[in-house]
Amino acid sequence: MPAIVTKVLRLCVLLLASGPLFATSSLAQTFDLCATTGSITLPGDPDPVDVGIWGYVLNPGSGCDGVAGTAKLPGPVLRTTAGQVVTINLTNGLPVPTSILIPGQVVSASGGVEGNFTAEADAGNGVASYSFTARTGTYLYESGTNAKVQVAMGLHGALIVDPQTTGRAYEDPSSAFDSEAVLVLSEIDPDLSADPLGFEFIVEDPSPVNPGNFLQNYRPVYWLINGKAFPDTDPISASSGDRVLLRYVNASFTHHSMALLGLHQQIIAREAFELPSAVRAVAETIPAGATADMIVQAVEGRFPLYNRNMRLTNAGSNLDGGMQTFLQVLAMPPLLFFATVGNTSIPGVPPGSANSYDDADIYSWNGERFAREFEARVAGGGPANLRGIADIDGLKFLDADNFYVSLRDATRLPGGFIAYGPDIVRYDSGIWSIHFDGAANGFSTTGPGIDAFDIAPDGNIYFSIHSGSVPGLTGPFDEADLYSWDGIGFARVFDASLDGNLPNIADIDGLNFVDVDTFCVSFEHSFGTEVPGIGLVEDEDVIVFDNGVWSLLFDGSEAGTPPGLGGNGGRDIDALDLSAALPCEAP
Amino acid sequence: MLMTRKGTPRFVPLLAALAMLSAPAAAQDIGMLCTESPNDSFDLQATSGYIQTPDGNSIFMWGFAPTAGFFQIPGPVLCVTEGDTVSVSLTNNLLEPVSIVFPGQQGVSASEAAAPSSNGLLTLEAEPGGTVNYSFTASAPGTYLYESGTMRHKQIHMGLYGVLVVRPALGPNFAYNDPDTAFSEEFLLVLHEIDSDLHRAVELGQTFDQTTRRDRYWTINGRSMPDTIQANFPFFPLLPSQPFGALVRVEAIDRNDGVTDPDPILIRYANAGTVNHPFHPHGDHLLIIAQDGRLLGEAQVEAFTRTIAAGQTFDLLFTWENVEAWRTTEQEGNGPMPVQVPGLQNLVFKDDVTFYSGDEHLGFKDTLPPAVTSFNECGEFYFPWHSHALHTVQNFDEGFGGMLTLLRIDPPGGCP
Repeated sequence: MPAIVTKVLRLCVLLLASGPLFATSSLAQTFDLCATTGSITLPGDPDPVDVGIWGYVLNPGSGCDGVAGTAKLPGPVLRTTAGQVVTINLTNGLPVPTSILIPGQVVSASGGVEGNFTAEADAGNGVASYSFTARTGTYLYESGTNAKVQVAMGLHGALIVDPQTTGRAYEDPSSAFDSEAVLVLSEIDPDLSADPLGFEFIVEDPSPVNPGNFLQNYRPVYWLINGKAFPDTDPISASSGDRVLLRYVNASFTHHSMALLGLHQQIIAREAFELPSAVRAVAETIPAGATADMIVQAVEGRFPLYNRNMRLTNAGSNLDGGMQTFLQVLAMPPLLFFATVGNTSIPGVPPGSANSYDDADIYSWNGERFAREFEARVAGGGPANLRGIADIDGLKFLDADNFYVSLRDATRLPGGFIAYGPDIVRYDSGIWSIHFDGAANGFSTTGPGIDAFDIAPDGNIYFSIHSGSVPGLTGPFDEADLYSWDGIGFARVFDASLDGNLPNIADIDGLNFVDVDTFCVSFEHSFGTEVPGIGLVEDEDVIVFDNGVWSLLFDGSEAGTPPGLGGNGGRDIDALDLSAALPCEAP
Repeated sequence: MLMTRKGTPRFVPLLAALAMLSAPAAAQDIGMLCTESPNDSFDLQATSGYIQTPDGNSIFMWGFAPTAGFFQIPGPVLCVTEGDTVSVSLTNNLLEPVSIVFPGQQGVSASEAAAPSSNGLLTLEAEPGGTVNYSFTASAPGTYLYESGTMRHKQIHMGLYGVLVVRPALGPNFAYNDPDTAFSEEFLLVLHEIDSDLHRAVELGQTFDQTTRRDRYWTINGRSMPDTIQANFPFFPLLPSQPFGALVRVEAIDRNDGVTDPDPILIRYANAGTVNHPFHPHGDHLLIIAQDGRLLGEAQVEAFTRTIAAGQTFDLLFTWENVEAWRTTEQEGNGPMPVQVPGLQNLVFKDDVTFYSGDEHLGFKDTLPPAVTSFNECGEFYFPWHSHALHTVQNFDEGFGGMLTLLRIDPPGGCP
């Protein structure tokens, strides 16, 4: 049942890409914007190029005070929730009147002066306000005043309206996503930027019949995503397994066929209306002024996302540039680390170089696949090579260069000393050493040893034993009891039959210890262990004990491709540790 | 110059054998020509050559050609079957790095087969003289582009593109793993544009400045009208580096004649160009069943014009149904095609050639003026099939031309 693990993981990776874009807080109902001048730097060949722009700056309660001349591209992402009554107060720091349109929202304007499309804020810090009850989806907001110049100069941005249910683009469950990116597409004609007030009146034929006042000379040569041209564009980050929501907002005057190489994009909505049935595309056109929402099922890798209309250059340069970036999907972090009983193969993990699969190898599981973290025996023999007899049966894993193990049998380690069953051994970047000396603390070197352990932040050791007894404690001793060592003496911290209602047959062979009320274990018995509240738990499963209640945390028989660590006679998790990405707590 | 070559003897098999990686089983005159490989391994080279345009121009191009074959535009149509492990080796015989990307394929791996190679922006690139091998599992059936992944704005425009067809496990006469996608014949229409000045600049080793681009030619399968309706591999010296015709032929069906109707024909659209093209046939609608190699399912739609955006592919099923009984004989009293045909004295036949049968009934021919040559074989109809951005239906300001081909409607049962 990987679903259990996956669910936990989802909580961990519910992260958002493109941090700075989301600086404006969600749920805010009032946005105070200043329309002002600014500049951006575009990649040049060979030198970067500064281009003047007009843009929106968020400046709560302060009009244009202190932000004049600081506009960037695009405008801030305005984010709110469906049903909120949103008011945008626009203060005009530009030398010409301006306004805001939000195609797709029903807006009522107030203040300012009357314009062609809506109320306008006059030059010289005039103010106009725009109110609407937010409707779910992805929208463009832009200037509604002499828009051919003002939108091209940069007076545009994205409005995101979340549905009531978090984690979705729309109320429909099929629009659920794990991470997202807003992609505002725009273009720059540096000649317009250099002369925004005069450009539209430049005519090649200044005759009375052709007096100007249109953009006949408009020739954009820079193509931007979120105000940047490649190679300056920001990559989109996601984790493997994520449903990545791409919110395309085309603020330019050109249609753009946006392609993703290596994955299909599922088009779920256009202009904030969900499609009755989703379409999967390599390339899809975002028309000028339109928005589209697409979901990508991410797998590990780096996927070019680019303008297939080949707007992939910066001005006349022949270097790669323009409207392109990458979807960078990282592998999921490991969730749990383990070693096996016997030299059994692990699904999807290639054989090792010296011994195909070793019971002293350390493996990880990240919710999608297994990987080998530590190879006990390396072809040709390395300084850290373990002998064939080595069998890790307890594990505390920090990273591949730093971990603690207990070994089932007495084993001569690199460095010449022998580790016995009751010892805990540290591995640190190729050097083995004794961390806990069982014999020095009353254990017999020839007797049964530590079968599972964990080391707490304060250094205390919690462990379970194969059989036999713990020095200084009274019986009966159960192979599923848990004991502590505080550097002075031993204590029993968990009585399997009294505290855990576990059957006699239960034998804990892997442990991740949080406190006496919360810990995670695996069992040894290959035919399963009957656990109250769960039923039969196999030896490749990991279960959690949380304040008296047992539940399944990792179902080893369903994990991997082909599925299953175990089944009958399969791989037994013989030592285990959990990463921070998989907290030991009831799911 | 308007000719179809059905039934004409030619040297197609020989040329095909020379030029293709492996000759198509039967190099048919019209319809998509597949290049197949027993082990799904294809050896391509990036090289340069020239294509001919109908106005007499010849244009310098870069293209993907079989390593052991002749230069061609577009590259070979690579046909594989779902689940195949496909291997495409690219040898670079140009003077700058080149690569291939496979939009719509997942998990493409690239490795150097012969030095030199280097890591490019999108994938491993073959340096001049080097060979890179690209490998992937063709996991999903459909129509896909393959194209340069290096300096795309320049190299794809120069002609480094081709089409990959992944056939479904269900069988080669299905477009997808869905019995409703059965087809009788298949036709590939790949769109592209050419700015002849920029091509000339590359030929002369000058800068490729995208900002100056102004297209002058618009092509389907590497040809412009009227070459689009020339046969596949026309005999030498016609179109030696443009092997693929674009004439679409369908047999009219009559659901009431008691004869089993053939399956629809399958049209595979692919836009390897830079511009979105609004593309349509005259005469009937099509059923758009898939986009970019994925069935549309509930989103499938019957449509006339479909804008094929740059980088997109579509699969469409097409049936020309004889709903108004145009095909039947005058004697039976059924109606002709509902077009008022002018009297012959009012018709002008450009260059004294025509595809017109002289008769408005499907399947019948009639008298034409003396000296007019008709290429009509059996009273079949012809309709335009073209980009409706009509400035692209010309060859450097001369029309008809450009992104235009013909749809040929044969009478039920086909031409005798």
